[in-house]
Amino acid sequence: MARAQSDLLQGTLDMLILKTLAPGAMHGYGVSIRIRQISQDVLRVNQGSLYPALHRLESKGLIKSSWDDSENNRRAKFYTLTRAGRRRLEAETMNWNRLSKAIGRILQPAE
Amino acid sequence: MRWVKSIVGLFHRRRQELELEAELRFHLEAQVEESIRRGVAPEEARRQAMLDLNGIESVKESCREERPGMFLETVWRDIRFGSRMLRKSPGFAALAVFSLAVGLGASALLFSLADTALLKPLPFPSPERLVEMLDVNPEQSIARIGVTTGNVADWRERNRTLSGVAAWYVMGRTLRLEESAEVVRTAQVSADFFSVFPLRPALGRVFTEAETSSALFNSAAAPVGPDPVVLISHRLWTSRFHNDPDILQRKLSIERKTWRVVGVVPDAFDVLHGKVDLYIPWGFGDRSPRDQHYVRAVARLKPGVTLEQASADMSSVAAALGREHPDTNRGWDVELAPLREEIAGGARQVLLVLLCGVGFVLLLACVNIATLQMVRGSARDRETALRLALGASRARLLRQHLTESALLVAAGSAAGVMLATGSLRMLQSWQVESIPRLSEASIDLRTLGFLVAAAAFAGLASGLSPALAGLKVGLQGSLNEAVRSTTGRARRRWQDKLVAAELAIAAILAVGAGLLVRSYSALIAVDPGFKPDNVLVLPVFLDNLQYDSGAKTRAYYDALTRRLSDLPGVEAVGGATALPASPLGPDFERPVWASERPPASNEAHQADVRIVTPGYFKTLRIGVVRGRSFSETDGPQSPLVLMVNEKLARQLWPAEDPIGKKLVVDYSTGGTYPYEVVGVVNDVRFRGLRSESRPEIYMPHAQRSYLVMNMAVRSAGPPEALVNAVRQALRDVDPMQPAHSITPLWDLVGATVARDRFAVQTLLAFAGAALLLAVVGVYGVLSHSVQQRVPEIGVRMALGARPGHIRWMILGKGARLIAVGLALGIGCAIGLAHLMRGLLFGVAPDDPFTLAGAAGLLLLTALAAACLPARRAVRVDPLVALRHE
Repeated sequence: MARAQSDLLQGTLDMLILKTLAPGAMHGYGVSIRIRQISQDVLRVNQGSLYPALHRLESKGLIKSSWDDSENNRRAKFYTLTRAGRRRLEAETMNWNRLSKAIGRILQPAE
Repeated sequence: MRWVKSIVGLFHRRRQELELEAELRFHLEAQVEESIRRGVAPEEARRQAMLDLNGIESVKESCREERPGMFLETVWRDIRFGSRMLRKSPGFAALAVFSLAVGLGASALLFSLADTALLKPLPFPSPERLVEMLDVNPEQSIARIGVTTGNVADWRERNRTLSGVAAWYVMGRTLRLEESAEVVRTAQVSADFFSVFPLRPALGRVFTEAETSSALFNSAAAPVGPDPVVLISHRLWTSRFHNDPDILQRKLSIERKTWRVVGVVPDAFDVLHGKVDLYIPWGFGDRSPRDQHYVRAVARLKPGVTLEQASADMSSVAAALGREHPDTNRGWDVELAPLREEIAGGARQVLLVLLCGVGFVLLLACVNIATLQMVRGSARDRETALRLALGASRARLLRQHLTESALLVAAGSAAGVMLATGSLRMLQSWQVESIPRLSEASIDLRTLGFLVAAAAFAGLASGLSPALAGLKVGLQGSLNEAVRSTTGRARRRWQDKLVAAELAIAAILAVGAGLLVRSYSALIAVDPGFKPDNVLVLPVFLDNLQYDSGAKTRAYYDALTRRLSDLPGVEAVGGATALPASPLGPDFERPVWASERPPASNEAHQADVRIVTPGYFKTLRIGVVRGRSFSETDGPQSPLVLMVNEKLARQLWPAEDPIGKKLVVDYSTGGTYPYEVVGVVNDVRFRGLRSESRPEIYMPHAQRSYLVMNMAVRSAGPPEALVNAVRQALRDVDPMQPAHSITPLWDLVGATVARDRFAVQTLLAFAGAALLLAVVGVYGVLSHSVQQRVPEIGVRMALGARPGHIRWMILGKGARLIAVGLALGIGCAIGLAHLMRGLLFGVAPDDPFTLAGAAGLLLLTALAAACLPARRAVRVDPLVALRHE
């Protein structure tokens, strides 16, 4: 896998994690799998950045964690969005949409 | 709220660690299972998962750093780790803390002294507007002497830029309390004194305008005005009157006259003129002289007026007075200078040079610690490499190193503050008078601020380079022993540079101290023209109520001389109005001329006037080179005679024999008299060893009696043994006339070079500390080098190198370092020594003996320090060394 595909801006990674957690609780491994699946293998999150990012979001109070049984009956640490996290996700999504639209307009060939 | 979490987090570290471990293990296992499900072999799946995680410890470390409170926690951990590392090498830690304590403590002390003497505002309101006034006469090349009462009165009225002109004169007056009497330094102060120095009296009030204008004195400085009033210092109020609240109801007997106490004033005036305990008002009267320059004057600038404007204003006033009173004022101008700088005076350069010196000591202490850290550092390379391999970031390791330095510096600063406080208190208890405003100095917030800045500098200077060098090695290096010994080369080059720098700094300090030592020994080897050993000096101020005639004064001094001469062990007794190096007594100059050649006005020679008793020259061992000395036969009725010193004789009669010539002395208000010159004495350096001799005339006390005499007693043995007998003799002659003080003349002469002595002692201490530190540095680096080269030395020996060869290999390396350091240091010293030219006496700043001596001393000590490691190198057993490899 080319390295460029896994290099993500820090802010972007945080946003992706928040989005991935929006439907419900999920453990770290699940987050990495889900991002890869949804992006159809374009984005691959390096574990070296995923876990620090999760811990960062948790210490900022955007997500919270609890221990629970996983799908294969092992204890895993599950993360869920907090209310602040949900608000942040909305704000970030709006931001991102505005930004990507603006960039898209600039990159579109003139008609 | 984050900080609450941070602190709570600190208590859950163990649980957090376990959870982190479990979380990452779950991730790994989930990934492995997934891969196996996709058909990858279990072994390969595990390997890939680990690869994907990019090192589990490094992920953990990144996670930890995201934790709240992580910063605090790592600081705490660094501190604990650092102190553990320091405890492991207590010798190094003790040496580092000690040298930092000395460096920082001495820096803080000197900063405090210099700050107080040079920068701290004077203890008066709006002190920046205070200027000292000094008379100058460029035509007669007279620079900066005291002012005259006659002029001060006109200056007050005519200036437009000053809000007040205060003048004062300090002399000893006898204060009588019950049955005891003591001589107290008394300032007589003019009208504006308390408006120029507006200090609130602790009790009562200051003088009124009327009290000042009616306070008149006769020519013997005895008060003749009605209802005399006096202010006493807070110190006297405390020490003599036990803070008596009814002091204002009391009357004091001063010079056997009764004075009314009107107030108690703060001791802040000490800064002007040393300790003064009585203040009396002084109205100049109508016929104040304009040619007797013995008064000190300070003015206060009006708000918004600059020093230049005031100087211009006063110069025009002085010029106008010169036209109105050509006899006395022609050519005289007045110079204005900020009072704070006048008080700092000659101490400025001493303090600045010592401040530079202490800066070098501190720098050297830092470099020394850096060097030793480097040496230790190479022993810790394995640790650094291990920690980097385990995922520690460079910044993290740098912080760890700097934390260790910070620990050392913190301990050093704490010890330094104690050292500075203690030594300041010691200096203050010694009352070193060569340091202006010493009593005001304290280890205050400014000093502490300076100390913190110096400590931060010390921390970085001593910690940064070893830390960076360590990291460089750590990055390049590995855990492999063989690779390590080659990568250490960069560090060794660093160490060599640091040691050379240490030697250079030590050389600079050694040259500075050497120059001061040479200068000081030249100074005390100066022949002052008299012999100050075994002489006691006792200034006596007779009061003019009891001793209101010349006959009574003569009778007193004759009786005292006889009593003192009769004491066992006394060889000679004499007295003079002013005695060399004694700060008390009337010391003034008058115009003189040979009666056969009356001068045009204003061109007469000036000569210092001393009134002496016959035994004076014998007591001080001043040599009579021509003619005769005074004798008992030179009485009030016999022809007027005087003696001159060689300098004046050469000026007046360059080619003739002065004996028998007539000399005219102009006593201004007292008239002019011709005297016969009966003798010539050798010149003396009257104002101390640094001063030049001046033209002098001596007159017999019998023909011109003075109330104030500095009596001198020469004894066969140590003069201190006589003090009690002398005090008793004074009491026997007149119990109400104590001496102002009884001091060995040697101490008075010593006081004139006290500043030089302080400078030389302090800089010598600095240079000694520097030498010690540099030697430790040389020794440390060379022994480390030997230790590192043990395998190499073993190989050389196995291949047939002789012990002499090995010894020279190590000594040669030492010699190279020493040579580079010395060359650099001596070069810098030559450049810097010029800055201390003003402190030197009889020695040039580039004195070759000093340079060679300092270089030689350093060379020898440094080589001696190099010999031990060299000997150890020779003793290396090739078998052991090679097996070790």
